[in-house]
Amino acid sequence: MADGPRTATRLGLYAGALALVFAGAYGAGAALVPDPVVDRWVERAGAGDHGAEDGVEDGGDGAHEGGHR
Amino acid sequence: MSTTSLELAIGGMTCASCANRVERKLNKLDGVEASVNYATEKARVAVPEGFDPLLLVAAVEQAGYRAELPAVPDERGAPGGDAGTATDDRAATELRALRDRLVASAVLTVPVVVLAMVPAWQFTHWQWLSLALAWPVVVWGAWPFHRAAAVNLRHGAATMDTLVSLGTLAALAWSVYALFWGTAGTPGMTHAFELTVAPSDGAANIYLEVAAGVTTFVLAGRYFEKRAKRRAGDALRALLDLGAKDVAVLRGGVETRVAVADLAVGDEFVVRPGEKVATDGEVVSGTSAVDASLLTGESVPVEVGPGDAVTGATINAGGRLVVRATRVGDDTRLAQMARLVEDAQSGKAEVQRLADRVSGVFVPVVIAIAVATLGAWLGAGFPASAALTAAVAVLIIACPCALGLATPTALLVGTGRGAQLGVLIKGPEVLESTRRVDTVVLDKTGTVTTGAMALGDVVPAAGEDRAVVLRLAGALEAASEHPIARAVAHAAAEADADVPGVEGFTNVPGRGAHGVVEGHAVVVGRPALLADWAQHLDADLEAARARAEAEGRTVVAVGWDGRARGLLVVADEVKPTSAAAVARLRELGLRPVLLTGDNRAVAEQVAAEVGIDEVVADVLPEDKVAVVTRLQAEGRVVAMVGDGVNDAAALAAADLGIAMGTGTDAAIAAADITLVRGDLRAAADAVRLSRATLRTIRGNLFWAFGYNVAAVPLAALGLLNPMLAGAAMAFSSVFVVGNSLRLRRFRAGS
Repeated sequence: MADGPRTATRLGLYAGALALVFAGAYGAGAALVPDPVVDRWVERAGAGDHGAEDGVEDGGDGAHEGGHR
Repeated sequence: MSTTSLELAIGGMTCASCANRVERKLNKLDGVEASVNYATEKARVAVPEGFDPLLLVAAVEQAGYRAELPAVPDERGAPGGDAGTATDDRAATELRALRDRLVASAVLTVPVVVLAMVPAWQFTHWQWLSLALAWPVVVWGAWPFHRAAAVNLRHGAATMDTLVSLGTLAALAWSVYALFWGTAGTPGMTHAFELTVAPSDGAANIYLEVAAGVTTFVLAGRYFEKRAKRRAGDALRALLDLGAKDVAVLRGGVETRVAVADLAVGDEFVVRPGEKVATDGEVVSGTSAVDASLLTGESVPVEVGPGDAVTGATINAGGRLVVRATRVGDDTRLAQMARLVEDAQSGKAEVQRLADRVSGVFVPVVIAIAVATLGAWLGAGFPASAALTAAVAVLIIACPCALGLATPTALLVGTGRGAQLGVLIKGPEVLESTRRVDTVVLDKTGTVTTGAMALGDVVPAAGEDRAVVLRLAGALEAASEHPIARAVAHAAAEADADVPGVEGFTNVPGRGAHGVVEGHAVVVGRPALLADWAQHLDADLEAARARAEAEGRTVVAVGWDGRARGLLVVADEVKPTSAAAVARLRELGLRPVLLTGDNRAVAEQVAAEVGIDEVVADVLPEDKVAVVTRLQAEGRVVAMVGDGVNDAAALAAADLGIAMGTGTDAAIAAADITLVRGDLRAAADAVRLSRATLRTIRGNLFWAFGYNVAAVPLAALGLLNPMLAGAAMAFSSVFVVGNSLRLRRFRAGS
């Protein structure tokens, strides 16, 4: 059954390619994205979530409008 | 080594590549030769004598599909017996199951989509109701996609199923995570109606409407496609329905009515005027004209007498015949034709759906983008949860909701517009396989010509009046049922409303008729019949007769009171629209070829009249398919236009089969497109409409992917929110539907 090994090889090659993509992207992310950008993003995302949770705790309209706010 | 052939019903195939896989798997078994057809969901397998067919079933199941052996055939081994019925039942059951799955999914999906898109209706805990409604859709409703995706994965392939399965499961999994471990499950959570983007770790967002919506839309597309595919077996059923159902068999000199299945070789049976000949045989007694046009396409009925062969399913147009059966059941010519049609359908090139072809590249690329997103986010130092959110968001947004709509909507509008114009298109495969049609093979009788005999000319002898010749001949022929007589009588009635009556009408089977009209002893028929009455054609009439017969026309002589008075020239007339139709087909870049079982003289005459240069004449009914396959082997992409049973196999084998709606059920069922009006000009419209519909499907697929692909960078940057995902879904769907609706403006050239 030649089909099986061929498929396995193909999937293996694809998995290898994905690993390379991951490694390349990881390196690119580390090299190209400055730390302040990451810090700012974490801060804003946290503020959005925190604000939303506040909204719930406050009772307010009882609204938690998505994590991006 | 001797082999036997059998047919397996294959289940679980979702695309043409599945069929290729099953075929490869079967062909790897020792001595096995298999051909798998995705459209008919059947495998035709040749196995060595004594081969255990269960090994075939095991091989198919090992590949991840289902296989079913045919039921034991009936005594006659007639095709379409138990095995055919079992396959039909299975197909009907599968279609019903798919419909139930679609209806249940749609009922559950509508509130999920409405709740997600209308923030005002998002009551406290609405997200939990959405989850309760959406998970059965994604898990049970989309089960066929998950199953197919798993099978595809085993074979290292990706199709539309992989994309749908991946996208819906990612959306459901993320939503479950956000509800149980994120903040999306918080009482009072709503999705704000805004399309702006902002950073988020996504733990407050759910994408259940995307998961459920995609599933339902794609299920709807699959349902319409499967329904169209089921019609593939209609050709065979229609062919076999042509045969007589019962027969008056002579046993001990007594007529006994029995089912045709009980007829044996050597039995003598009676065929009355108007009845179908029950099976292939030889005339024992009686003379008659047999109308074989359904089978052979020959427009002139064939005169038969003792010793002549007759074919089952032809119609006895004249007197009583006693026929001895020479072939029954599977051996008859009709059964052989049915096999030809089935072989042609099985051999038809399988075309991979465009959506599958695109998905085959799109899925690995999207997975790579998701992995790259995960890597880049982690590498940049973002929290792991945020990196995972962005990666999953890529998978969610990449699954285009409109993918399921792209083909069915264009097809629905295209076929609807076609129906208005008298062009019935059978299914998407038709369009996807015919974009490069460059040759159109036109059957002559019934397609280019009317298929009915009509009076073409009246040639009076010197000193005779043309109107009188027609009047007296018409009066006599009005009493006959023969198709040529009917053509003469019809023309006479049109020329003169006051056609006199006939006295002492006598039919001379196979030769003509005589009787008394207005006191004249009138004889109409073959010149030989008139010669018997000492009424010989003069030199001018003989010359006219020779000319007409050289052009392939049928000549009937008319005489009265001891003298030949004229000739009636009868022929199958060219339809008035055929020449214009051929010109339009040429304008579309198609090369017309005239194909006929008639002799070359008739064929070339008709071809010249309508403007066709290439003629294939004297073709036996069973050889028409060979002509089509020969043209295909020459590298041509062939459209075939026909109407008769004898065209059915060629219609099925052609890349695009077009049947005249005025033709037989077998031809209509074997064809991909039916022209309701029987006007050949509609064939050009059919080709244009097919091309326009295919263009629309391609445009739809482009935009279905386009909107979602445009949103992939947003997802990769962590900026996706449910409203953006919903907007991409809505815009692409609206665009696809709108684009398809443009087909309503298609105008017919005819």
